[in-house]
Amino acid sequence: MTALLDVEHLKVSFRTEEGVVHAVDDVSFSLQAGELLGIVGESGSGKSVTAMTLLGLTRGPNASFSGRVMLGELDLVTATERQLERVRGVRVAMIFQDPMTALNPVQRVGEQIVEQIRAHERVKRHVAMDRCIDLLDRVGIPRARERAGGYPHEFSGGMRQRVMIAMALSCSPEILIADEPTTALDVTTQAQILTEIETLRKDMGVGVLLITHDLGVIAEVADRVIVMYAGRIVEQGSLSDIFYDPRHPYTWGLLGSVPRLDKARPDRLPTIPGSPPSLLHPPSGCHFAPRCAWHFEACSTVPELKNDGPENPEHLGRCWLELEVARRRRLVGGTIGLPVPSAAVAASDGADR
Amino acid sequence: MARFLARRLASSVLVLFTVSVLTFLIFEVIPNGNPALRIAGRTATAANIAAVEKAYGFNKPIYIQYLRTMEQIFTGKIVSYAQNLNVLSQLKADLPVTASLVLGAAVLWTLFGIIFGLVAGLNAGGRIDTAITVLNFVGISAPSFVIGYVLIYFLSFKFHVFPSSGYVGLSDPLGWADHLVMPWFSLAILYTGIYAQVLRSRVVDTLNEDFVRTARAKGLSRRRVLLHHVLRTSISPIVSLCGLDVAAVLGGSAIIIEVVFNLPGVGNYAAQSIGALDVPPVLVITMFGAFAVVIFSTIADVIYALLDPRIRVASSL
Amino acid sequence: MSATYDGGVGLLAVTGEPYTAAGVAPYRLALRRLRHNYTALFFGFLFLLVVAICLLAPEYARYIAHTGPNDQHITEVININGKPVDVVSLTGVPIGPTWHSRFFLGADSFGRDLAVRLLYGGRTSLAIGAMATAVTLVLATILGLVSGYYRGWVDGVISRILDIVWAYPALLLAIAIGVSLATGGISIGPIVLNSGSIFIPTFIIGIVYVPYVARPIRAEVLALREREFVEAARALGFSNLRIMTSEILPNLSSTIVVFAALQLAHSIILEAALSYLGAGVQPPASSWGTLLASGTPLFTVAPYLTLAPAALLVAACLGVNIFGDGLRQALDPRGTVAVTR
Repeated sequence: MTALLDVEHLKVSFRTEEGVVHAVDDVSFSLQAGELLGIVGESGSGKSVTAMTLLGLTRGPNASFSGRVMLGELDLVTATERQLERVRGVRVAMIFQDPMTALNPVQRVGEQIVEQIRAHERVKRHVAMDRCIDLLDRVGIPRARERAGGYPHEFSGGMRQRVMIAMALSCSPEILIADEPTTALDVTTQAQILTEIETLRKDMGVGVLLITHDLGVIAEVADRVIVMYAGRIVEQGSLSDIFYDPRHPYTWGLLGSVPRLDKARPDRLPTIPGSPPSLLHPPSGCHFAPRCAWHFEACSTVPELKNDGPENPEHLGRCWLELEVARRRRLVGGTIGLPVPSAAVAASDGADR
Repeated sequence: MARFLARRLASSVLVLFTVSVLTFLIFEVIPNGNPALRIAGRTATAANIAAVEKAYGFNKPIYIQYLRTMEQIFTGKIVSYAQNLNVLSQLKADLPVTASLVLGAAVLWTLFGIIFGLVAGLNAGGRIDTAITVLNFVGISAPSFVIGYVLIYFLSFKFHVFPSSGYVGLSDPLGWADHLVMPWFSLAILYTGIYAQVLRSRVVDTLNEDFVRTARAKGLSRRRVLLHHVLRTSISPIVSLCGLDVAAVLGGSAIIIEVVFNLPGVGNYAAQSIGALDVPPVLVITMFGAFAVVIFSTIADVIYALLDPRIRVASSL
Repeated sequence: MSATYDGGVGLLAVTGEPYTAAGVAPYRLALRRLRHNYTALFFGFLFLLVVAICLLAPEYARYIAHTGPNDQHITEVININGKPVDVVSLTGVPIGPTWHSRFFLGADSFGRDLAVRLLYGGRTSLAIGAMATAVTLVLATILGLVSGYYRGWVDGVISRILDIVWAYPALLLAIAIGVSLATGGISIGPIVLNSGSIFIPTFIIGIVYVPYVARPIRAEVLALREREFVEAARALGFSNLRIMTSEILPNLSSTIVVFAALQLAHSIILEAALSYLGAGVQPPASSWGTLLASGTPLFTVAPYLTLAPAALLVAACLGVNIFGDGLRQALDPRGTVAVTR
């Protein structure tokens, strides 16, 4: 099955006053119709920049790009602005993190949706307005006809995000990119929005790219997961691969730092020590190595993103640790992700040699 | 909306009243000097002074003086003794000239300000932006009368393109415009600079707003994003500024430009009165100038509220 | 804990210090941005140049022009390239620029050296501009701070007062007060100013602009007082006065600095306009405005009498305006501009 979207070796960097920031470094993935691909990572990992680059929203005098983003026959990296205008909203739609600032505060909500419809299709105003009301109804806005005349500040946070979803889906796109859609919402609303996205995905067969830092969200809805760190993909695979057989020490750290209800409470919440590197002067070699408890000499060169073998060709990891060694390291210490002194590691390795 | 209007109007009336009181105080109650003498002017005769004292009631309590003064003004009886003229009838004759000058300049500066501001904002950081910005600042830094003289020197004196002085009424439209082109530009250059800078800054800010990003993500054409989202949001301060600046010009730069170009308007009348230290006209013009500002600023606020619905909810101070 | 690198050859032992990006203090960041803004620096330098030559007026008068600002040479005859020329011709036309040390820019109708008068007048204009700006900033900061911080009726009263002062177009208000005072000066208690004092235009200009600066300051104070560090200060028991001066005021400093530059330009221009109309600096004192006033009647025969003070005026204002804008850009943390190398 051909993929809806093919991202090949995408690199994005920005010139700033202090130097060049390599925000996205060699990212490749593909999105199939009807699947939900989650991209997870902390702030500064490059996930949002990746998402926005897909629609050409990061272009500017200080930005430079390499690689390809293939939407069918069209390469979105080199596409002209006119070509992009015909893709945005129609074939690929996007919703953003903060619906309050993402909607035009001085324009009525119904207007904003109608505007999008009429920008892409030759329909009369009242036809577009009817469609808009229908959409608002579908995403769960009560009394849609009345509320369409309201302004964004008259809606609650969850409602606004629903409006954004309605707007994004108004022209039946093939792909929906959701950039942290639930981050600004409380947990209950978050659940509702996720359900909404899920339902619409099933009904309309859209491919969804969901960006988030929240593993809980990923676990709820994702089919496949990409883990990003400091601009690079460090692990990629199906949902069960990532959660039940994570390959990369960073993923271990992410999963290990999630509070567990089924285990005894530790004295302190486990965290990954240190902070992400500066993307101005990234460390040479593996970006995660300075914080990784299992780094060794090989880590001073960049590992390739490779799978573990023919049994599971889709599960990729960017780490020098061999699969078996990795699995052992992961289990030493009893809790996924806590770094252990090298002596204990050496001892456990030696036991098998 | 109605409540907002009512609040705004009440506030304006209060300010207008205070303006009248304050103007009165400035001119007639400043310590040191005989107020009657001040009103009558430097060339006053004894008869003049006596007449002033009777009309303004300087021997009566202050609030009576105030009421008498206001009576004089609003019944059209206020007179300039030094020039032997009724102030208000003089003002009525002069007003069309000043209106032509100020409104014509306002149209020019709004138009060019928006164009330059938009172009500069879209090219922020680039060479076009720097060039426009420097031009804007030259406009802001050169007093309008200086520009006036420079224009006269080059366009009237050296190359006889425009007449250097005088006013021709609207009955002769070509002549009317011919005499007003240089004055219009002298006034407009300052405000073009200001508006272009303000709009540029607003455009740069708005371009970074999330909703502009959403608009682009929706696939709207560049033109639509610019005009409908960016410009419409950036332009609101221009609207309120325009109202205020028209009023400010009426009471400020218009005076000087009318002097430079010898246009028989309100400003010129004020300037002559100032030169002669003739108080009644300056008193009336100052007060009406302030009235104009209050009225225009109220109108501008109302228009702003119509454009931006969030303002209606916020309480106005 | 993080590892330290030895140039990427091999990793050293895990050390105990967390990796943190080195931050830069906001003022140093601003200074760095300003240093790269060549346009702003150039125009700032231009302004300083004008100030410098005006300050050197007495030296110029004594050593180069050999004449004072008020010395008249109507009947004098000087030598230019060997030929004798009347300083003021018999028809009343004064000499034009000689580009020599005497009458460098020519003379006015009273035979006074224009260049000397220009520099002395500049001192007055710049002095009034600077002092008026100081008056404006001090009053506006106090009023803005008090009304924004206390809100309530205090804010109501101060805002009304600002509204009223602001309702008067600056020029008219200045003229109104100027005219009123010109006929008799003013004496309130211990403050006595005769009608010719330059402090009258100074205070008028200073006061007239207070609303323009106080309102933005008030708006910023309104926003600042809701910030957490103010709440923290209150929780620590700081007095209101202390909060205003040690918490809020420093955060206003960048706004005030930017306004200082812009108000300086406005004040200089307003002074010129006032003096031009006769409601500002009174003779025998001179400023750029009075020079313009005396030069414009002779515009067609002696244009330089108008153009010279105009040029210096524009140069000074342009310099301080563009530098001020450069300052504002440097202090604004959000400015997104193309980075040029």
